[in-house]
Amino acid sequence: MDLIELKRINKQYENKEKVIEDFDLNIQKGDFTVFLGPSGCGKSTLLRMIAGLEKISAGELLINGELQNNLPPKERDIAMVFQNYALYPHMSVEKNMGFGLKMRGIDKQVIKQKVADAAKILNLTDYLDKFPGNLSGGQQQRVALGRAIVRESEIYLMDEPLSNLDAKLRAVMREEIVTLHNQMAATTIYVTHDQTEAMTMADRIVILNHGDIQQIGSPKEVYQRPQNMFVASFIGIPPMNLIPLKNVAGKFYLEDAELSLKADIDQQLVFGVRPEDAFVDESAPLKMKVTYIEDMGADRYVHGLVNGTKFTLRDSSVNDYQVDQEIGVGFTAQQVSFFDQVSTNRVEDNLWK
Amino acid sequence: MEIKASKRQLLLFVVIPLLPLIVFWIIPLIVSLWLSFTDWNYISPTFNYVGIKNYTQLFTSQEFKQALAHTAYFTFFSVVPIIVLGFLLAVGLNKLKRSYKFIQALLFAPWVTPLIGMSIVWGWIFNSKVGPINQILHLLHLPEPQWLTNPTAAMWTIIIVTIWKNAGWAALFFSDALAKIPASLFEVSDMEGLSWWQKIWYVLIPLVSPTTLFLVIVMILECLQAYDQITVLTQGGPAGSTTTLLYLYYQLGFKQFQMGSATALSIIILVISAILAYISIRMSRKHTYY
Repeated sequence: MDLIELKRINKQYENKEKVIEDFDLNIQKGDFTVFLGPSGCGKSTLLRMIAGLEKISAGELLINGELQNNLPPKERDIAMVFQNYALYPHMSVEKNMGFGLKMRGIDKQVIKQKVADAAKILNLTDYLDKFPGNLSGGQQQRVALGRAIVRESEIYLMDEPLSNLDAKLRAVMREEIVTLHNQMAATTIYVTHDQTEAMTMADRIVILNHGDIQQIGSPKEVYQRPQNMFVASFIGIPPMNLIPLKNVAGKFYLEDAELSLKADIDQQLVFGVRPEDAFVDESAPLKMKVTYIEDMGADRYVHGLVNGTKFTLRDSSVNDYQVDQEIGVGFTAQQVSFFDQVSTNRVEDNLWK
Repeated sequence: MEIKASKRQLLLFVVIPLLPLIVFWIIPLIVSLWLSFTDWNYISPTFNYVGIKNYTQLFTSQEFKQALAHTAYFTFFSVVPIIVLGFLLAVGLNKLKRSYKFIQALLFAPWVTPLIGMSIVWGWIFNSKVGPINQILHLLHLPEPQWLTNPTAAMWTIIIVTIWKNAGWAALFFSDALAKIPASLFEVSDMEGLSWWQKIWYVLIPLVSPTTLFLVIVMILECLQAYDQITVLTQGGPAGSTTTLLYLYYQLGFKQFQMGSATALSIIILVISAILAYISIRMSRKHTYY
């Protein structure tokens, strides 16, 4: 059954354009859903509407089949973790974690026990007496997670919880959060602009842009079969290479090479290939002028221009390339995507004749 | 590149900023301390050393005990309302969506207006026959206190003027401190379901505590130094009911020409200020969070 249902949700601030228009999404119990998108895409606003921190301008929000629109946040049985941790600086770790329970009038001994249990899971037992100001960023975020856990809510909302941490700690915390999510059998909605977090943590990624859903799918699906050019260029570091095809009376050309495709005679197509699906092939007709080489250790990214359009390929050979050198670029026919240039949507996969 | 200053250069850089401090603070302080052991009468060129007689006389005099009690009463009943009112004004101010700047300026006005002039205006306002306050009270058939001539009422007149002067100023500090509290802390308290007074008690008050402490110290010192409103409104009267320590110092030194006693009293005021400041700072280590 769907635990959370968003039905034609709208958000409009006073006298301003709509941030979110007719947004539909169902989230199942136990799912780890990630809202991914560039800043300003409405992902945080959506999360805050689910939490009850923002009013829903129009539409319905249901949790367990019950309408939530007019319920205050505390009655929604939701725990939330904030980007800046939002710990009370004047309370110890223990008090911070137990504060929500205390305000709900729960027995002191019960609170103590629950906090102790959560602290054990999060390795915070030795820090219970400390104040947030004396903790590192990672520890503070653990306390914030602990405060969410002790509530034993059904739903956990996380608003960019790892953005303030350094790269190494982020990797550690990603794993911890997913483990925690599984242990608690929780339903989590996680907002981020970091695709690495989305790809590594999510069961399901909801990719947003300008308040609209671009694609919903597993990390693998959104990576391998981007539904439109926005997703193709947003997901992947570096992103998918996109080159418009020339259409000469129904014949499609990638630069000078003709591709034999089954497409409408007047269709304008864009060809897309991931950097790791392209390779150096001196005999290929597609030529790239090298502009920059990025050595990643195990392999490297060779950046260049294909007739003025930027193009990147991943290369793991021992060959040496020079800037300004012209190299041939090859790719496997089955691993490319095509998009309609007008609608920007993906065109069915098997275009090859 | 390393630049080494000679000792002479160093001395120059230290002494120049120190000069005003020495001339206007350290030397007068030493001279006061010295004078407090004499019976100098402010006019004659001669004087005798009297040891600690000025101090023992002060400590046993009724005048001093009364002034000390008045000062404590005045300080307590001024500082507490200033802090409470300042805080509440700030909470209100920060809720405003418009006219924020205008109200801010309005709150700041009493602080920048010379109190000596404002005290004259307050003198008219509190005038028991023609002053607007009593006229309003008369219309409402309420008792009309003799604001400036009744001993209890006179002290409260001084207190009201002092609160009026400082509450808005305190509100500006609180307003700034409140604005610096991250919005997410309030959102957390929304998620936890705090009522508005719980938010004030558990979130606002603890988080502005550094500002509260700062204002309490500054306001205590302000009250210990209150002079303008007393000299204009009551001159320490009636019957000494508004004579604070500082006003007593003024009376002793410049009306009764007992400069020895007056400087002894000024040293006592200094010691009291230092002790209060020390206590406040000690308390701050336990009860404020930065």
